[in-house]
Amino acid sequence: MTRSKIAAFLALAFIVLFCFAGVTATTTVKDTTVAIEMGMPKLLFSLSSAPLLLIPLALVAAVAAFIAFIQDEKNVGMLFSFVATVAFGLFMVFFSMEQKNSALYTPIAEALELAEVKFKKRDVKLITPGFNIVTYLTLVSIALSCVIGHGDFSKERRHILKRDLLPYAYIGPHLFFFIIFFMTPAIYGVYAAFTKWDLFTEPVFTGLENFKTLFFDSTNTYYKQLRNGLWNTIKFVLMCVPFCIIVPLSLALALNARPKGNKIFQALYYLPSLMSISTVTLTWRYVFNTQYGIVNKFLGVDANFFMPPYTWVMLVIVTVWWCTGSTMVIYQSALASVPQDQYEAASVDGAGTIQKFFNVTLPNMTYPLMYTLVTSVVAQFNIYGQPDILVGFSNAEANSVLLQYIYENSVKKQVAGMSSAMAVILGLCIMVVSFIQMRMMVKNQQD
Amino acid sequence: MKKTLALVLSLVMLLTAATAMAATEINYWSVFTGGDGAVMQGMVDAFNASQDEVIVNHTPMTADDLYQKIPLTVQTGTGIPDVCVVHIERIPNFVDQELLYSYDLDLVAEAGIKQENYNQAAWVKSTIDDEQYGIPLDVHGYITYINKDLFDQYGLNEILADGYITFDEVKWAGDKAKEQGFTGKTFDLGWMRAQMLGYYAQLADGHKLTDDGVAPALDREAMKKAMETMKELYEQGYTTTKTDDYSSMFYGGELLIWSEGIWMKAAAVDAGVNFEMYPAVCFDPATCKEWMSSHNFVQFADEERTEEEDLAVAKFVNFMGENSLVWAKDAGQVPAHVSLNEVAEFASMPQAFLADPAREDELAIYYYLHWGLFDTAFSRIGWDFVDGTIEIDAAIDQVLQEVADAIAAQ
Repeated sequence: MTRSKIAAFLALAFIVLFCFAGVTATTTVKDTTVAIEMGMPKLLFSLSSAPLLLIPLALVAAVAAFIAFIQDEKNVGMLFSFVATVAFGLFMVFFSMEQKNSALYTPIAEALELAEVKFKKRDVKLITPGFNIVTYLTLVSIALSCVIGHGDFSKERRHILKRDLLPYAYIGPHLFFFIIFFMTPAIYGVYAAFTKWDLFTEPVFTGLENFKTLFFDSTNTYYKQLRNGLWNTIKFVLMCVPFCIIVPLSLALALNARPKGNKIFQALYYLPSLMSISTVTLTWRYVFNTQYGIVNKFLGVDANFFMPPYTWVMLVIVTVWWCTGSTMVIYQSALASVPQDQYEAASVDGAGTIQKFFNVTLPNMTYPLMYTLVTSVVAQFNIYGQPDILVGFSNAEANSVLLQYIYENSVKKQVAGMSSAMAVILGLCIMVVSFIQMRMMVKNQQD
Repeated sequence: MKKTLALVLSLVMLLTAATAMAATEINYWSVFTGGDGAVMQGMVDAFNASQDEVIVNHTPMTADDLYQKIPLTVQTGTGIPDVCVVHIERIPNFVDQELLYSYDLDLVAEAGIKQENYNQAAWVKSTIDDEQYGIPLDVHGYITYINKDLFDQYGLNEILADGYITFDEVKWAGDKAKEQGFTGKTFDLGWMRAQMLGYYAQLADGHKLTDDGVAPALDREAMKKAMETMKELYEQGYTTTKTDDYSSMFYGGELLIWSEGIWMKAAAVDAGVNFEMYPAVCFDPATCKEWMSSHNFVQFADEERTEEEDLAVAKFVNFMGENSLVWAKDAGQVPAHVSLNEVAEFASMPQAFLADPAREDELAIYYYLHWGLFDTAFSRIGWDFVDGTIEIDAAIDQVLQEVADAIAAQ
C-alpha cells in the first residue's frame, strides 16, 4: 500500500472516528459528583460554544485531504490534513478551557435530577470538560495522515510544492474565515430551522414542525407573519428594482456624454453609496417629516409618508438614492467599453440617438445589466434597515418586511428555531429568483 | 547591600500596601442614554468622588440593547456587569431563567439598604419566593402635562380643580379652546403602549395580563373600551396624528394636554414652557391609575463575583438611593428612597404627587412572567387600531395569539 493510500485511509478514519468521538463532563453539586458523556456529532449541533465552529473546518479539510491523497496529490493532501489537525486540536484546547459550557449544562442538569439533587443553576459552578479515548484517536489519525502523507522534499519537489501550494495560500485566509464565520453559521442556521430553540438552552430537534406551522397552520402568528412579511418584501423588490436599474443607467448615460462638471456630478451621485444605512435613513426621516420636512414644504402638500401607501414611495426613493452610485459606476465602465465604431456604423445607417441606445448600447451592456439585476434583487430581498429605522416596526399588515420579523423573533423574542425556518424560506426564494436570472444571463451570453 | 535590601523591602511593602488599599472596581450597566443618561453619569461621578474604596465604571445603553445583550452575556460567563439597572417588569422572567442572583439582605444592610427605606410598591414587586432580586432607584410613569399659559388664555382651569382630568374634560377643553381660535391639537397619542396600559389599568380590575401566570389574558371589555376611547378621540380630531412631533407641539403652544413620561420634565423645563403635571387622563377620578414602572438595581448571575464586590455594589446602590434628589430634579423621576419624600425641595416638584403613599393604589406596575413578549406584541399594534389599519377586536386577538405562539415556540 502506498503512503498516499495510507494517508487517505487515515483521513477517512478521522471522519469515521469523529462520529463515535465524544466529550465528557463532570460537576460536583452539594457533595454529589455526576459525570456525563456526549457524542461529538450531538455536541456539534448543540449550537452553543464558539470552539465548535472549528469542527466544520476540520471536517471540510479532512475531506479535501482524503480526495487529494486518493489522487496521489501528497503535498496538497498534507496541507489539508495539517489544517484539519490544527483546527481539531485547537477545538480540543479551547473547549477544554471552557469552565461552564452551556451545551453540557442540560445533560448535567438531567444527571443531577436523576441523582435526586435539589439545585439551582447557580449551584453548578464548574463543569469540567474532557474527551473520551476515541476523540484522541480521531486527532491522532489526522495528525498521522499529515505525517505519513508528506511529499518529497527534494529541492526540485520543493519548487513544485511551492508552485502547487501558492494558489491555496492566496485563497487560504479568505477560505478560513469563510468556512468559520459564514459557511458554518449558515449550516447551523439551516439546522436551527428544524429545531425548537430559545437561544439559551440546547435546541430540540423537531423535524419539519416549524415548516408545517409556517405553511399550514393558518391560525398561527408565524404563518401570518411569513405571508405578510414575504409579500411585503416581494412588493418592495418589484417596486424598487426597476428604479435601481433605470436611475443609475440614466445617470451613467448622462455622464457618458461628458457634460461640463461631469466629474463633480459623478462624485456627488456616488457619495450616498458610502454612507451607512443609519445615516441615510435618519437624514431622509427629516426630509419626509410631515410637519417640518422639505418634501411637503416644497410640494405644498400635507402627505404623511410614514403611513401606507406613501411609505412605499418613501422607501423606494431612499433605497434608490442610496444604491444608485455603485450601480452607476458599473454602467459607466460598461458604457466606456462599447466600441465606438458600432456607433459610427449606426450613424452611417442613419440611426438616431434612441435607435443607437436600443440597438448598440443596450446589447453591449447585457452582462452588466443582468449582473446588477441579480445583485439588486438579492439586495432588495434583504431589505431591513430602511423600514426599520424610517417607520419602525408598526403598521404590521402594511409595510413590515420579512427580515424585520426574523430579527425580532430570533433576537428579541428568542424564538430562534421558527425564525431560522423563516430565514431559510427567504433564502430559498432568493436562490430561486437568482438562479432564474443567472440562467437568463448565461443564455443571453450564449446567444 | 543593606541599603539595596532595605530599598527592595520598602518597595515590596509599598506595593503590598497599595494592593491592600486598591479600590474595588465594579461594572455598572444602565438603560439611561438620553438626558437621564447624563444625570446618571453625574451621580456615578459623584459617588466615585465621594469615597476611594469603590470605583464604578458606568456603561449606558438603550433598554432594547441591554435586554438583548444581557442574557447572552450571562450565558457566555464573561463581561457580566456587577450591577445593572433594569425595568421592574423584566425581573420575573430573569428570575425564571435563573439569570439573576437575589440580594443577601444581611450583606446589603451593612451598606445601609433596608426595605423600610424604599417605596413599598416597587420593593415588593421584586420580591419573589421571599428573595429580593431588585432594589428600586425610582418609580416613573406616564402622566399628564398641561400648558398653563394656554389653559389661562382659553379659560380652561376649572377642569383642574379636583386634580384629575377626565376624557370628557379633554373634549370640553379642546372644544372651548377651538371656539376661541386655538388651531393646535387638544391631546396627544404618544407612546401608545404606556398610555394604553394606564387606561386599561383604570378599567380592568387588577390590571391583569394573565390568568394562570403564564398564558396571556386580557380583560377584553376593558381593553376594548380603552382602545375605542382613543380611536374616537382621534376620529373626532382631538388628538395628534401618528407622525406629529407632539413634544415640540407642546413646547411650541400647539398642544393643550400632553400625555408623557415624567422623565420629560427636564426637557419641558429646558424648553421654557409653563406647565403643570397631573395624573394620567382618566375615565373616572375614583379609579384613576397611571402606567408605572421602576428602575431597579439587580445583579446578574456571575460565579466569579466576590463578596467584596457585592458589598461594593451595595454601597453604590445605597448612595444612589440616598442621593437621588438630583435624579428627581434633573431627570424628573420619583426617587424610590423614601427619605427624599421629606426633603422640601422634592415636595415642591411637580411630580411629587406620585410619591404620596395615599396614592399608592394609583401606580399600576405590571407583573407578568412573559412581559417582554407582551411588550413587543402590544407595541406593534400601538397605532394601528387608532387609524383603522386593524380592527380593535382583531388587534386584541393578535396580541394574545402572538404571545401564546411565542411561548409555545420558545
